[in-house]
Amino acid sequence: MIGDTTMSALHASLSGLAQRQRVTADNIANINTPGYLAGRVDFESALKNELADGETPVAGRSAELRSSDPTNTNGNNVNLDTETVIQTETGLRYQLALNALNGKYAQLRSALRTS
Amino acid sequence: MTSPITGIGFAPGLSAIGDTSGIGSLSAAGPAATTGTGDGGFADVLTGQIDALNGMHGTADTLARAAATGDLQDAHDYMIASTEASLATDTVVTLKNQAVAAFTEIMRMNV
Amino acid sequence: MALFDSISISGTGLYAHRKWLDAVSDNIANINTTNAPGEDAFRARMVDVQAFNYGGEGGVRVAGAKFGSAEGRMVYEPDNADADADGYVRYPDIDLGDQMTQLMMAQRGYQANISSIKAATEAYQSALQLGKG
Repeated sequence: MIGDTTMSALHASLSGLAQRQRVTADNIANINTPGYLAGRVDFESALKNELADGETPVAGRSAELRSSDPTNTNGNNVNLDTETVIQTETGLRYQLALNALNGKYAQLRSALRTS
Repeated sequence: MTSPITGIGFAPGLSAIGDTSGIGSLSAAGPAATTGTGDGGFADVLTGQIDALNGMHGTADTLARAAATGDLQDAHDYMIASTEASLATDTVVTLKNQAVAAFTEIMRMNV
Repeated sequence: MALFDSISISGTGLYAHRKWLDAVSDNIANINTTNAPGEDAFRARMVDVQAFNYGGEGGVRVAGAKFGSAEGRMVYEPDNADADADGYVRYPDIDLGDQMTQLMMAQRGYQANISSIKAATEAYQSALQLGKG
């Protein structure tokens, strides 16, 4: 009754971004851990495919990969600058998705009010 | 109880909700279109919507409980479920009010 | 909760980096500590970290400490109270430049974990406003 493809896509993106936030926090905690490879979350590809196929996106856990960036002498490949950029960007995208979703809710409410 | 309303279909006042082409989210004829019996009609639509509404409140409730026990995966999951349930409730109440208003108006005609 | 997990993971990062800072400060404070002849030199302390539940819960764990060389480096100072029979004093084998680099890395890592917590908190608080108004 309530909810269209766009709202499902926004929900899926919120879940993916929250997961990315967690994985980035894990990378930052492990900047100096020997042998640790940076984690990456990719939910955008699956989401784009679902939207292109006309399916309704489902919010859930996305695949987590390990980065293949070059490692330093103790086998760690976490780059703090990269992680900081990812973290900032993820936070901003999360805000954007929340705002978009709020916009949809506001439209629904105003349609109800004018009926 | 369906007979007085069956032949009416959608009352005129509902068009503002049904005609949300720019939004595409509120579908008063959505899930209930498949649940109605052969004669369709507004009562079946409303019943279907109320069932869907109960489902949404159930989902929001389950997530609220998960939030209470610390099991909730993401905060936004609960907020989305509760907002959707609230909007759905408003929709159903509006539909019901419009239906009652239309019915009353029609009943007034048969004097 | 993906965002709450974020905060606890960053918490483990804070703890590990603080231990690292403590170890480095200790090493620097003792860079010229000498002991009586026959005893070991002050040994540099290095914190040993491991990923906590790699691929699962995430976070970092302090697995223990490793210690540097007990041999130290011998410096000829016959006037020093801790000089041995030949006039050599055993100093710790700690390089100040290396320790300062580590200090900056540990500080930077600590601050990065603090911003991680802040980012997670902001995201969570914004999510709570979803659907209001």
